[in-house]
Parts: sequence; structure tokens; C-alpha cells
Amino acid sequence: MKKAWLFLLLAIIMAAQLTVLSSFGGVSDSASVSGTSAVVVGKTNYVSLRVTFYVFADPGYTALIIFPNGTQKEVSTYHFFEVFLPKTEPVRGLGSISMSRDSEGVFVTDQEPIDVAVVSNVDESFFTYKVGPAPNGEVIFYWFKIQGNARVRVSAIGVTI
Amino acid sequence: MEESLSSKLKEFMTVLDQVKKYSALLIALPDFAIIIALSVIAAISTRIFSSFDVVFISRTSSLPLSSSFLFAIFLLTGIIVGVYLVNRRVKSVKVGQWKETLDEGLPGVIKLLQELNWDNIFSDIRHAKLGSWLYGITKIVVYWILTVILFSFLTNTLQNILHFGTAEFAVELFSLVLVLVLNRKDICKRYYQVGRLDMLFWELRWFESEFRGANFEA
Repeated sequence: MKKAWLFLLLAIIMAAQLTVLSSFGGVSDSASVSGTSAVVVGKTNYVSLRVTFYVFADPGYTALIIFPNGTQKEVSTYHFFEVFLPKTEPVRGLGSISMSRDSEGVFVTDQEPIDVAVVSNVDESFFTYKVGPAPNGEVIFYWFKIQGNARVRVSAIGVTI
Repeated sequence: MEESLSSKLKEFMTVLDQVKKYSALLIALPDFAIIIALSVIAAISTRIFSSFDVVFISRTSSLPLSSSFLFAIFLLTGIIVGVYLVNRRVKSVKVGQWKETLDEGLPGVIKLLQELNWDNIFSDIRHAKLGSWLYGITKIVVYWILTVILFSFLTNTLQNILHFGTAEFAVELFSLVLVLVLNRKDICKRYYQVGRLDMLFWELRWFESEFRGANFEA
């Protein structure tokens, strides 16, 4: 009988572990870009997210990474960096918010609280019109521009706990 | 007549030894389940720690051993330890102790029959039926887990080399079908074995009532 209770306890622990594990999720995107392109990450405020960016300049070309604060990084071979976007406030119920052009871009909802996208050939309106904190800061967007020919890969893994 | 009786009793006692082993197997199964559950908890823990490590420490920082490898190691260790303990429990069942008595001839046969604890035998047969099924199911599940691990490793390797991906669900389904096909003889054997145990149970019920009613003078 004691063994049955022990087994029940272990089953509860396993269920709890699987719940924790299911709170992790990952998304990725990659594309060859040219001209001015956007790399965008969107997440809800209750997600802790680590994003990895790889930028491979096309052979013989140089790509320029331009961050929103004006910092620039010239890439002649490849450049790799990580960004951690912490959880800010545990608020749910935001509906859906997107930063997109037609069907390209990021779409963040409660059901899919993280998204990444590499959008080639964007104009400035993509950033001015659609970038920025969502109402009440429920969604956080991180983005940068790439000028030139390159291959970009973005992968993100996050947790809602 | 005496030889025939002795040979039939020998056959019967051999079946009873087998029944005792299945009964011991059933008793050992909760321990086996607890060991497997512990190993699954340890394996899932590695996944959780690894995921937290990736999100909160760094994507490029990696544990000394990859989480998938640790996951497989914990599961395999659990299975090996569980199987070893069950095996040890089954092997510890004392069998064949009746042989010396049986060698005494007819008096030995009657002595053996009189010493049999019928209630325990019926209980053991019921346990053996359940034990046989549970053992069969557990065996298939364990083989399935091992096959999934093996095929996941192979498909991951293929994916890394040839960029040829396979859906997890397909791997799991294929592994299950493969294990069922490879174990089809064992499943059939177990099915008929349980049927035979049923028959044995009812024959012994009849024999017990007849035997109790008879008077023997050794």
C-alpha cells in the first residue's frame, strides 16, 4: 500500500515536471536578405526569452547591422550574438498583436507568446509604423536592421514561468 | 501406474514452479515501476535544467554532457537496474525442492499432494495470470522506449548529416509497430499461456475437491 502512495507521489512529480517542461517553447526563422531588411523578435511580457542571431554576409559582400540606438556593426564574414529579454510583468490576456507587413513579420498572441521573423526589403515605415511597445507594454519587440546581402538565422527559446 | 502418476505430478510441480516465478514477478513489479518512475523523473529533470540553462545562462553554454545523452543514460540506467532487481527477485524463488520427495515413489507422490497448500496455489495462479500479462506489457513498453531512443539517435544523426528530418510521432509509431511485430510470438505464447493457466485453475479446483474427499494410507 505504501508503494502505491509512493508511486502516486512520483506520478504527481512527473506531471509537475511535464507542466514545467511544456512552459518552454522555441521558434526560429532564417532567410537570405538584400537591401534593407528587418530582423524582429516579439514576445509577451510574461516570457523570458533568449534569442540567438547569426548573420552570414554573402561572399564578396559586406552586411551592415544597424541597431535602434544607432550602433552599427559591419559584417564581412559572419557575426553571432545573443540577446536576453527578461520577463517584465506577469500579465495575460492581450489578444493578439503583430508587427508585420502583409503576412511577413511577427505575430504574438497568448497562445503563441513568442515569434521571430526575418523580413527582406522593408522600407522605413515598417519600423516607424509598427515597431514599439504594445498597449500597456504587454508585448516587447526587439529588432534591428541589416543592410546588404546576407543570410540571417534567428532562433529563440523562452519560458513562461 | 506409479510411473505415470509420478511423471504427471512432476509436470504439475514444474508448472507450479513457473507459477511461483510469475507470482514473484508480480510482487516485484511495483518496485520495478518505482525505479522506472525515478529514472524518468531524473531524465526529465535533465531536460528542465538544460532548458533553464539555455534560457537564463546562455544558449552557447552547454552542460558537460548533452541533455539528450543524459536523458537516455538515466532512462537506460533505470531500465537496467529495474530489470536486474526483478530478475534477482524471480531467481530467488526456490524451485525443484519437491524432486527428492518425488523420487521416493508413490509414498512421495501422496506426501507431496498432501503437503500442497491449495489456497496458496490458487492465489498464485491468479497472480501468475496477472503477472504474465503485466510482464508482457512491461517488456513491450521497455523495448519500445529503447527502440524510440535508438531511432531518435539515428534520425538525429541523419538530420545532422543529410538534413533529412523525421517527425517524432512517425519514429514513435514505427518503433511501436516494429516491437509488436518482433514480439508477436511472445504475445501469442502469453495469450495461450494465460488460457492454459485458466484451465489448470479449474482442473485443480476439481482435483482438490476430489482429493480432499479421498482417504490415503501411505
